[in-house]
Amino acid sequence: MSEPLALPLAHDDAPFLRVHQLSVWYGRQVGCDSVCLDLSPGEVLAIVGESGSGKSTLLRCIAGLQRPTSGNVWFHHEGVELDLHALPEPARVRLVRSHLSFVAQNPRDGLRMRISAGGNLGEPLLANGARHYGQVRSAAMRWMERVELDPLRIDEPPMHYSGGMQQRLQIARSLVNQPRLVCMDEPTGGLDVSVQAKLLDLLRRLVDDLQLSVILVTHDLGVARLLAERMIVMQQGRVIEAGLTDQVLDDPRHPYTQLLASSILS
Amino acid sequence: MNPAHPPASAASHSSDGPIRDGSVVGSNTAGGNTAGGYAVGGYNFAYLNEQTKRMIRRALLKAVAIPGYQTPFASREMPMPFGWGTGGIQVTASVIGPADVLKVIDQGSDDTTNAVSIRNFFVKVAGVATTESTAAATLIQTRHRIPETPLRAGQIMVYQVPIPEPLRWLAPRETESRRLHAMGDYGVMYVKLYEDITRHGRIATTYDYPVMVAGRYLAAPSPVPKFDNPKMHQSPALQLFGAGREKRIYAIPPYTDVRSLDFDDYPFHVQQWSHSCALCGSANSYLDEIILDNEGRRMFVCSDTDFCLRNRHPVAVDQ
Amino acid sequence: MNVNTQSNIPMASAPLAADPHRSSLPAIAVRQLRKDFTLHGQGGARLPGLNGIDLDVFPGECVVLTGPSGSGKSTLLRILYGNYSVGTGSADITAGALRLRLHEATPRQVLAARRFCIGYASQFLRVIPRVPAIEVVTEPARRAGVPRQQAQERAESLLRRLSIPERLWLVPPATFSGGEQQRVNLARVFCFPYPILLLDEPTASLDAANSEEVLSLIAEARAAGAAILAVFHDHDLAGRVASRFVTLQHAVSLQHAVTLQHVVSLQADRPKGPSSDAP
Repeated sequence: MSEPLALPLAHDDAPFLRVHQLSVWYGRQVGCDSVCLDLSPGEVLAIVGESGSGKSTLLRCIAGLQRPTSGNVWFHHEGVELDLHALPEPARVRLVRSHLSFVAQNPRDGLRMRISAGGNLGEPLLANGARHYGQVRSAAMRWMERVELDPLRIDEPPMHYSGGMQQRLQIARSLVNQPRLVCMDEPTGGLDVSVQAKLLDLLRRLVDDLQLSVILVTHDLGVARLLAERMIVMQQGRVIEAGLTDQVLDDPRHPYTQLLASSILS
Repeated sequence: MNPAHPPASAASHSSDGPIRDGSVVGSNTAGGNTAGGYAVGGYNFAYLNEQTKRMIRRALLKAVAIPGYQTPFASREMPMPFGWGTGGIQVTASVIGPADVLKVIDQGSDDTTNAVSIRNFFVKVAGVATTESTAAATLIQTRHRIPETPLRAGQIMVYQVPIPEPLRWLAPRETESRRLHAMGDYGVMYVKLYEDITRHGRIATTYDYPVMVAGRYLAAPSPVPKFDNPKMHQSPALQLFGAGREKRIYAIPPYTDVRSLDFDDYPFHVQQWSHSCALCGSANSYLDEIILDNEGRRMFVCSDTDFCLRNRHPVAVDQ
Repeated sequence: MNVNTQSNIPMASAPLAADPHRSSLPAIAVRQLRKDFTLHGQGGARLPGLNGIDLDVFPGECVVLTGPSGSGKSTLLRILYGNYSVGTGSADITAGALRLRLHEATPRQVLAARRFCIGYASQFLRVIPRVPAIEVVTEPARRAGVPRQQAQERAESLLRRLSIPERLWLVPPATFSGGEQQRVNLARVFCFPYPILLLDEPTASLDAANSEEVLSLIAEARAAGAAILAVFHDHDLAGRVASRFVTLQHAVSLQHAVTLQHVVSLQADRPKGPSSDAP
């Protein structure tokens, strides 16, 4: 990439994640096709598209949860470029466990519903070697406050929580290890509109305060506009448009993007 | 064509006379060599055929080579139901030799139904000598307890294990459990302990307490009370674990580190009683509570009957 | 409500002919800028947006775009903010050490320029749910690295000047009236000293007093060296802050009301590298 100018700026940070020509085929069915993207520290990238466009498949490959048919996910780690899917499994698991996290659309997929909120929040810490009960517990309480959950409910299992609370708990769980990249798959899907607004606001502030790098899969363009500075639009496994979120939404060029943008209710 | 030659049973199979060192009863009455080994009472020596023993021994060798790792084996039907110790019996049958002296305990006791049945089984099919003395035994099969009398080099402990997988109730699938073992990813077990402390103010798991074997594999010593966990650490004896229904064998070789999981601020400790044994007065053995009558009177006695007896009659027992 | 008297500070009440900043490079340099919109949903209809615009805006200038409705005034502002892509031609932004060629910039470069160099006030506040007005106002300044306290003080003074009552400061602006939202939007832009300001009808729904206040804010920014490109619906108000007018014809051509000659002369020695001139 030839940059005509050097900006003395935060976002000028070199990308730490590069997805190169990533393809997933389910037999003859395309999951995603030759996708390229990159992400710098502190950036929020939205992936939008209708169901079946391959956005979740792409996200799962980036998060290390699924193996691509071909292509690479390069992760800049301690001065070295690592190809996530070429790493031996133990190394990949270690990398994923300590630097990536995943927020599922359904909190049931990302939480242990019968284990206390504290246990859910503590698990990533315990998996990374924390061995002090008191410290794990106080960290869990801090994170509950951070996502506006009552720390007094730390010993309740998430099955006693409302849907919005469960999702906030899952988001907190994805952040306790201070990952370099958070992958979110429709984090506000399936929630009431008012709950959704609250969650969006929370996410927006977390992203700002913690300088999170986030890849956000959503079919809700309003969510993308609110949270993401950049977006890519996918259709049938391919990236058909990419760029600044507001430019893609306000000046869409691809017919499909125009259709999407004109379908926003506002 | 030797049957099992575990380190302890150094005797050659020409010495088919009974081993008489005081406590030992019974004798090896094995007859002549038959095609597959000794035949006793119409069965091949120790019930299993030699091919099966060889298969199990191979699994055992692998298990010893990878301490704590659950090695699959082709568990056989045994003449008793799963859950009665078929895993332990198959391991015992594969390592036992005519010169061995067998002790079988259930809940620390040598005279409970299960212990008596298994002991009789081996007397019948292997004709080995049996004993209640921990010190005199070369091979000890157990269901719950590790004897209070310290084990010594050359002895083999065989554990009957119902569920060898410590992650059984924590990971959704067996494939997932295996992956977690492969990655050494045991955070989920710590979550269980976290939940214990959260609910009970302490780690409330009292048996089947998870241990790290040689710093690598997580193992659950099945129904063994956590009181006995420290005895596994750096034990001079070879410890073999057999799960018949689950078709898994794992092992802790002699002098292996076995660490019970805990938290820095909630360290592992074994349970203690405010009582001493009502029979022998021991203050540091594992006690069973015995209800005496309908008024709720109770007494606490050693669960290890051999240990208790020896405390009471230091000399007499062996005569 | 103490600083409303600021509105009659000595400010340019007429287009300035001689500008002290003229010697520097243009902060905004637009050449042969064209923009069409293809509507695929309408059978590929092409809507002309801008047709071959040339324009320079220098630091310390306030250029007011005029022209009939639909002549592309807002479109031009949006292109310069990166909200619309450049069709053909070029659009260069120069501010201090930064030089951004919008027609070939990456999204990250545009974002950086927005963060530090370009302030854009659209006609409508894009409301962020649940965020109090005062934080909406301080947010761009804080993103640009202004310490919280300093941003807060500046924001409070702006909200006072734009007569947003203090009781509303902690209320999310979603419930505000159109005029109040627009004033919040303007306060947001003036909270950070952007070297380039793009203002789309800043006084559209404001009363006289607030319009005066906005004019004085524009004048202050100009005095501080900002290059300002604005669209006004009210020609008289515009006349009081404009250093010159540029009229856009119906998506075809552009008339330079004052300094066409200058633009032409500049085209000859267009800057090639980053300028070190501070705005």
